[in-house]
Amino acid sequence: MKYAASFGAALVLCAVAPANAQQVRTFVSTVGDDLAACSRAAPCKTFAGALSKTGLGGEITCLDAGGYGSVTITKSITLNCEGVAGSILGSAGIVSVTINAGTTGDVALRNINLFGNGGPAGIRVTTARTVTVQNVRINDFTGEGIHVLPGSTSTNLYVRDSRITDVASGIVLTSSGGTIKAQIDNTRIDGNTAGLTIGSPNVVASISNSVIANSGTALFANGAGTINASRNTIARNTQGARVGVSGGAINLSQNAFDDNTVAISFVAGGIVSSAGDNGIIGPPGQAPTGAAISFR
Amino acid sequence: MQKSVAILIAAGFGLSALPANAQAARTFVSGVGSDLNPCSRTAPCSTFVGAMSKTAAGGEIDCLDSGGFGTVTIDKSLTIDCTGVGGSILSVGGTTAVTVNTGPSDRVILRNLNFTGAGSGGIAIRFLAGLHLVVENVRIANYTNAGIEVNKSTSGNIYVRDAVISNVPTGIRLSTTTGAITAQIDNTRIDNVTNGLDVTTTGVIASISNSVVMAASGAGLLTSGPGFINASKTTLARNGIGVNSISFGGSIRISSNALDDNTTGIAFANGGTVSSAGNNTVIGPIGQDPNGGAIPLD
Repeated sequence: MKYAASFGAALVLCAVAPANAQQVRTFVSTVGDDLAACSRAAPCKTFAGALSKTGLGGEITCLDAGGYGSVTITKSITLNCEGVAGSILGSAGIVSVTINAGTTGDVALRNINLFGNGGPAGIRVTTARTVTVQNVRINDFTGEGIHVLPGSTSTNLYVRDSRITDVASGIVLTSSGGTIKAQIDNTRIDGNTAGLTIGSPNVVASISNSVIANSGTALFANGAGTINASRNTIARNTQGARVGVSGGAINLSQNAFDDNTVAISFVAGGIVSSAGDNGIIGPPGQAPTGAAISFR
Repeated sequence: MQKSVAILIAAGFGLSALPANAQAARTFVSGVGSDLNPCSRTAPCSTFVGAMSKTAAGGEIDCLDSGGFGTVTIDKSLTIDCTGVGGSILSVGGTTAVTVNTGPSDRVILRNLNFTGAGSGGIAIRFLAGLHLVVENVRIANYTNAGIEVNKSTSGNIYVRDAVISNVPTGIRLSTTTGAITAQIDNTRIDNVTNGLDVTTTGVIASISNSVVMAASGAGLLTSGPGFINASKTTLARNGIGVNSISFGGSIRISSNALDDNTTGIAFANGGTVSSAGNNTVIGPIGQDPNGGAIPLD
């Protein structure tokens, strides 16, 4: 009895960790506990629970397959579920990953499945210096798969080896002053209303070695920014490449446009430029009027 | 009861105190292992350093679960493979995560590893001595000096594939004091760096293919010394300079690349040359026209 009381007291002391006791590497497990230290032997249970116990620039590692909850990221950190089927299960009204990491925040999400279950967006970035999305699968959101909308902050987005399906807009980049630079590589975006959309000036996005298929508008310059597309397969979309506003630009080289309802279209003042080496199967739409892309 | 327990304990200590030369061809590390163990499947070690001493030359260390396994200096032929889990090395405070300093005919393979510098680590992988280093499927981020540095004094090869290197000053830096270094970098992504790939001495020939170098504030590909870089089917996007050849005798050869919106696409100085096959697409400011002999297409 006496031992039990002091043991209980010891347990209470252990659970109330000092607020500044952070580790550079923390762990989450579906059989963990957010009151734990988030160590390998005493993992936490959710990304949100581990976040406060992870040092700036550190890494949260997933120990087993399962869901780790939606999270708002407010500092540099890496979430990595490599080796297990780590996931975030969403629900209506909840963005799965919100990134508000500040102007020096570098955030990386690796090897995570974001299953929206009707949620509004998979990843929403409001401030960050760099965001890396690698080997992430995003599906079933009512809004965007990845939405970058910094105010005056400049943000670099790097998406690679990922897949975005069954969302309204695969990737949407809209700035209100800051510069968004994005590289999308070896990524598949299919079955959406829109593939890659830019919604403002101050956005330069490159997409390479990727597939956008079975969607509405695959490449959509709906703002006075630029999309550079090279070596992609753009297949069976309503529109392959479309510039919807004056001042927007899409540059195309070595893409395969397969059986889109219309391959290329643009409004007055919108520019589509080509290197002359894109293969077009099916209705080509309008011929590019921008200056030919140079070769050297 | 007490006596048999004592015997068991003694036997246990006996088992773990291996003779210095009792090494296995395959050893294991685990986040709940112990370096006092034999590093077997059922009694794994907890660090790469701990496992290496119990791994025979030419052997392999495998990772059983996700976690960090510590910095290591590799001094013999060895494979470290964390396939299937998130195996990782954290190195902070200016330290190097993996140093490869082996004999002149040794081969090292690093496969499926994550390197985290957490903003203060120096270099993720340093190749100082050895014949062959293979770096496969690694992620390197947040170091203060370089992602991968080859700084050798004898001939050797490095083969990097499926790597992702982010947020370091130099993504990959290659140099040698004597001998010849060949490097092949394939399907690799380098982003948010000062310079993506930098060849700093003579004696280095590096090929980079099917890769992406982006957001380098300096140059995506740089010959700051009289070596060579061959680049094909690579996207160089939104760098300060796409390709920059600034050393007399150094040359960058480019074929089938996409130079997208670099502040300057192509630049050279001090007698450095850039040669082209004439089939690279350039979006945005071109910079200087290639000044080396044209690469023939047949």
